[in-house]
Amino acid sequence: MSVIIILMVMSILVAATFLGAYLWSAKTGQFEDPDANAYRILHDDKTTIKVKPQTSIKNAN
Amino acid sequence: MNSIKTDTHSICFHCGAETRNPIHKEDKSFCCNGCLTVYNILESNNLCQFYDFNETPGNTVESKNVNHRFAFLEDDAVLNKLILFKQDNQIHLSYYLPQVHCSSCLYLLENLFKIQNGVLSSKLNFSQKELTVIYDSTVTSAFQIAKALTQLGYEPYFSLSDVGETAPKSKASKQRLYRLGVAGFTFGNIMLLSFPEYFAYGTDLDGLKPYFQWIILTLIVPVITYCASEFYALAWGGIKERYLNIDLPIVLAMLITFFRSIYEVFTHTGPGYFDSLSGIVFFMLLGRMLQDRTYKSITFDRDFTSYFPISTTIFKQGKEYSKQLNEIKVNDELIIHDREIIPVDGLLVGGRAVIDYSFVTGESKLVELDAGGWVYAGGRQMGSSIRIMAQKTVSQSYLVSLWNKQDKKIGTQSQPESKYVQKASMYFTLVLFSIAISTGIFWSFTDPTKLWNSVTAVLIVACPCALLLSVTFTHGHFLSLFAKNGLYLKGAKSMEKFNQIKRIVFDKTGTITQTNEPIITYNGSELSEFELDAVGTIAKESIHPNARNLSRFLNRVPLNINDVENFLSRGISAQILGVEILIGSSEFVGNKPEIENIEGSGLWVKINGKVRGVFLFKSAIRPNLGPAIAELSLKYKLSMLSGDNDTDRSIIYNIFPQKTDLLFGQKPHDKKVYVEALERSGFPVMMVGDGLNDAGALMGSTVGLAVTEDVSYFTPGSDAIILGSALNKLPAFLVLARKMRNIIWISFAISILYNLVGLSFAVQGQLNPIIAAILMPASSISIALVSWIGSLISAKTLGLKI
Repeated sequence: MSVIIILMVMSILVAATFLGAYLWSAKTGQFEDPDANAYRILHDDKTTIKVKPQTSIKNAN
Repeated sequence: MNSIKTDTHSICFHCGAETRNPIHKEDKSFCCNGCLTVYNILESNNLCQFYDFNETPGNTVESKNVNHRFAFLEDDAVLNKLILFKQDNQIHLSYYLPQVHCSSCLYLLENLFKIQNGVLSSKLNFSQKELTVIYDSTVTSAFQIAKALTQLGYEPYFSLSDVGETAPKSKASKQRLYRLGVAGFTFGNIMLLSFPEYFAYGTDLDGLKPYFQWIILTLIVPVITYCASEFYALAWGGIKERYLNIDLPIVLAMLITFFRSIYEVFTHTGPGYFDSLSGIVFFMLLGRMLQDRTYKSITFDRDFTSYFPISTTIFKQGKEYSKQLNEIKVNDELIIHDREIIPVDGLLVGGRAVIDYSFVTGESKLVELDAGGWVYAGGRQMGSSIRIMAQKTVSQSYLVSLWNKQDKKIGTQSQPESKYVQKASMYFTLVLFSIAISTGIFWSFTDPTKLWNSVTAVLIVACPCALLLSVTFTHGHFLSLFAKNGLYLKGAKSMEKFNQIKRIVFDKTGTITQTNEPIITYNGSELSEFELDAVGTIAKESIHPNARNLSRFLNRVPLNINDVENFLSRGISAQILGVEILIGSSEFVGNKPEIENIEGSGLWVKINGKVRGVFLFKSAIRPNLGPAIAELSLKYKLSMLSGDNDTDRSIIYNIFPQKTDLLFGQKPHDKKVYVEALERSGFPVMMVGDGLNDAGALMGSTVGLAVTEDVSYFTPGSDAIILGSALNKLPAFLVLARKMRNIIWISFAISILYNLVGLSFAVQGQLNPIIAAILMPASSISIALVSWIGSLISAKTLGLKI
């Protein structure tokens, strides 16, 4: 049954890792501006896709 | 190439403004060159994704010369105060951009580095509308970036308060986040580790219990030393100020629980109540956090420094310099450009001043002055530049002294709970102690071995934390309900003060009436389509607010215009396609007052030497305000104070019931005196006003409600900020505040029920940890649920958004 002790200690360590992640995210201000992060995730660089139509416009002109 | 043509009606692809005169590029139309420029910039930088997230996300760009507005950014002394961080050539600087409003803004502003050379990166704090830019000072400058932002439609705003003493950023809220996290972690783990204690009796797990207890004991240490520290601080504050707050009995109960549990563990008499203890701390932290949630984009304690710009232009030996406001000395010569704020009291020495003092006095009429006249700080020059000679420094000027006169009401921050919580917790504590003492007396006669066991159990189970929870959870829900409906409260305390109100005092201009959208009617011989176009065109050239409103009202395609001549605040004349046209005051067009008794102000039209008629301006009452005021008058006595004189008197009489006190021609000081007199005679006042002219009255009242069109605008110090469009919900808000009190009482009652159950075990000396561990979370959760559901139902029945 002493294996339970080891399991318990490990489960607390896992939980402590999550606590650490939470503290880190609080420290780096990730809870300060929830709206911006929600928007930011939608933005990605579409540079490569966007270049093509632009050059075609230039050619047309 | 851009093909430029006109059609009748279209919507700007960039900003969404309706326009009758669009500029076309490819298949898109734009309302003005400014918007087209932004589109071109975005297109050439591959940033057209800007238009994918939202329809017409842009801000209308007015083409204007902003060089003098940001001149202070080239002054190193000013710049050094604004810079957040500097390393070699890398400078971190933040810009406040009031126009930020959607996800596209975020996208554009964070891609600033693609548009402006030298910008290394930029990060937008959306809720604070603050863009932090990191740039290379060898390539670009703060000034260049400000110009680029303005060109994109985000004109940065800097105020005098930016260069003042930087307020310490609230580290307290971060500390609370940490504490909440640690408390949650320990609560969860201790609960888990306590299961063998509850259920493993007699099984082979029994032998492991000591190990589990040691782990629990380790985990509880940060809870009692770190997480609960704010309760100690508050309790100690209460002791120092010799008054009983709710934190004192809570701390007492926590310490008793802790030490009794330690005792049990070390004497092997039981497992202790560590699970309940960590749960209590976690839930209480959660409740306080809900209640103290603040609105980051709204500032309640503005003073004059946030209203004034950082610097102004001074004129010295034939040259223009930028100078910080704080450094202006008497006899400095200042140049005030169109729509700039006059920062100091002074003498007008050059140009013709047309000053809008509405923010200071509430009087919406413009004041005209010739050289030699005295101008006051806080006025806004409308029209061409003027030169003034400073007669006072900024801190001695009239506007500032008005602000300083206000005796600030600062509540002692060590008492975060409201009055009736204090009262309730006091009775609670008294009853609790008498139960504990009588339990002690009873057992000392019957079975002294159970004495300490039962007395401490009483104190453990009946911790007043449930009272705290009912209040903090309910406050939290209501604060967010109010905010969803357009009322932003400074804190939970201001919400409770709503219930004390007996009298409501309204300001007129900007509160009852909407100054920016008057009702315009035309009186005279009919104008043709062409003539209306011409009137719209000429009105656009004027700087007078009425003419501007007229041009917006007519919304005409501008025609070719020649020989424009502005006669300040009298009128304007011009030639349009060979037609001579004048608009202005009655005397200006040479009209004998034929139509007498005109309510409000008028703008006369004269075309080719013939007076055709008059456009009349009446301030518009906010929509749906009439019924709201009628509803309020049933429960409260109302007053209306106006800075204006007689204008609009009849519409005011129409919406206010007869018994209302209607006072006109009230100066800021009069308003303050009026409100304070009411307060002294025992009528707690809710003052509803806007602008600096109401600042004194807002401060002097029990509840100061500042009205604004947009929360990012500048409002004077107040207890709450209400959106103009939400003002008609004021009766519902007042009822809601009353319902909040009922919900708090209901949750009180529930918590007392749980306490009674717990107590019935405790007084018999039979409180075992498993009962405590079930009762505690059950009561916390049911209180949280009751306050949440209750607040939703009460808002719903009042027809408010939930």
